[in-house]
Amino acid sequence: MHGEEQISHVLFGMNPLWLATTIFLITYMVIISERVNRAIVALLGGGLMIMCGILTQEAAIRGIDFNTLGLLIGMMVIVSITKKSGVFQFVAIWIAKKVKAHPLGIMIMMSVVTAVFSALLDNVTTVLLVTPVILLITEELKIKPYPYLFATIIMSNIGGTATLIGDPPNIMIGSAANLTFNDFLLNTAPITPLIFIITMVPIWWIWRKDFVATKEDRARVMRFNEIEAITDWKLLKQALFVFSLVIAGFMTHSIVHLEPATIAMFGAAMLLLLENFASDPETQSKRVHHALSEVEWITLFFFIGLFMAVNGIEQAGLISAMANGLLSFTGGDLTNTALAILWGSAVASAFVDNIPFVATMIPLIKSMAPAMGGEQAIMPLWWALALGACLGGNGTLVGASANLVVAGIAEQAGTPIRFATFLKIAFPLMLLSILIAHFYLYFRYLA
Amino acid sequence: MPIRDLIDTNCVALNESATISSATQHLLAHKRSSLPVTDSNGCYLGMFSMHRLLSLLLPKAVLIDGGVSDLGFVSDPMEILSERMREHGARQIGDVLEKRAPVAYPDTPLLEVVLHLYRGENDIPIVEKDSNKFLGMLAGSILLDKVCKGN
Repeated sequence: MHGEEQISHVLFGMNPLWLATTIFLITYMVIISERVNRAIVALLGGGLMIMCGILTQEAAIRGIDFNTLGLLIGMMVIVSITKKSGVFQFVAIWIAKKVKAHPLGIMIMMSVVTAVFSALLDNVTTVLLVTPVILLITEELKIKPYPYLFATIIMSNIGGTATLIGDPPNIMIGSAANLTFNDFLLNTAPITPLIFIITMVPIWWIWRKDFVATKEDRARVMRFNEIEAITDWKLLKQALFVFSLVIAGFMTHSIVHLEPATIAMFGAAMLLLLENFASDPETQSKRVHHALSEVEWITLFFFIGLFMAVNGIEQAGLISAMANGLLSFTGGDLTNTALAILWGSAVASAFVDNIPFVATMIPLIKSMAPAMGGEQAIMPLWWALALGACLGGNGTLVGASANLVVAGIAEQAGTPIRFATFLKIAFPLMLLSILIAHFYLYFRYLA
Repeated sequence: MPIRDLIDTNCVALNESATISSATQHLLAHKRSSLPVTDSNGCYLGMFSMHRLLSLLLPKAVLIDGGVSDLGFVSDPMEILSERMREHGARQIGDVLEKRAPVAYPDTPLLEVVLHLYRGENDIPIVEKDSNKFLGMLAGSILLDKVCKGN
């Protein structure tokens, strides 16, 4: 146990394992209940680990993964500046016109756009950019937006599975297990196109009668001028330049020995500089303030609290006890363990936020490495966790933050997405995607 | 000067059961940007405003939080807008009321009313504090006129 120094000062001499477990479980339950903002709960949970003597402040801070936080902040700043150029609306409209504004064509192509954006940006950002444009196009076509919004949720989670930066669980896994952008491209990305295509089939089948629009309504969408959607050409060029450099940086970060957080933060700083170059100080302050205010601080503080809380149970010995339990359940067999992680993560991530779940699983998998033949031998476990946690988010409306964001926008637009209605179609689709991932993992790494 | 002396008690008030189409005609006929709406007992319910009326012409995608921020690429002609307005014409105005528009009472301090006007209201409805009975409107132009004349 790492934390012998800390646990000798535990409050009232209580058993540190029980105390840490109790704090962690209460934190987890309150997060799931969604009655209190998740950042508040996680910070209180992390704080209690220190106050009760399970962790020292230094140990708690050591538990925070600043690589994950830096990568998220950097990408959020880059996207907040880039979106002002109107490029995302341009792409959506251009795609809609390329398929002659046919409802089915729009469904397929918007799903592709959502999946690709989700692989390059985070899911929440993607759906925030895509959903309003989908609502606009479906309103102009006078067709039901529900199938499109449903597909947006599903495809954002599938696309996000593909890359290191696509979904917060992947960022956390990549950072903790030293997995590179290319590792994800070579291991999780190859299966996502197949999952995408197979998932699209039932979506098309269920709503096939709704993909009809009149010629007049389609003509209205065809009259959209996508060039007019670009509001700032100079900013667009700057953003695309920086974004290309950042992606190139991610692809070579293991060669140039730079962490993804450094690349993302440096890219953000560079784009801020380009945007503000030769501007007066007042304009600069305004723009920088705007870019930084777009960072999702609630998510980041949620991460900080969570990392501390998970560090608490790790120091107290709960994680190694859980790892031993999982190993005895699977008999220490790599195949059984990987598939148990895949299905377990998928079902758990469908009902609880996948971020705390992955935060708990990371030290658990790490601690299983010695018993399973070392770090290299447990690589399939990381891919099982990434696939399970990211795809599992599709199971229910609360499975991923992006799902709730789309539901919130849909509600405002008068197209509510209900939990049970969503579950009826999404849960079987999620199980289907996990089944595909199951065969992929088995034949690629375990057979 | 108490604000009760500035109230226009002859102001037209619409009934909640009026249609959007007829209420719009009143708005245009009286050259007002908004008109108060009352129930059959004369109690104030909210404002029927040009702002709300214009929102009916816009796609929902721009009205939601974080929605589409620019419509420069959409070229819907006048006929489309007229068609949209016609689609809403038969609805009752109760569906599109500005219920959060600020109101003032006869004893509301003058500066509070100035603050509401400064924040973008052209006219402020004045209601009885307990019964919510509509008393009349206070127009920004009348208040400014009095202020300039010094009484």
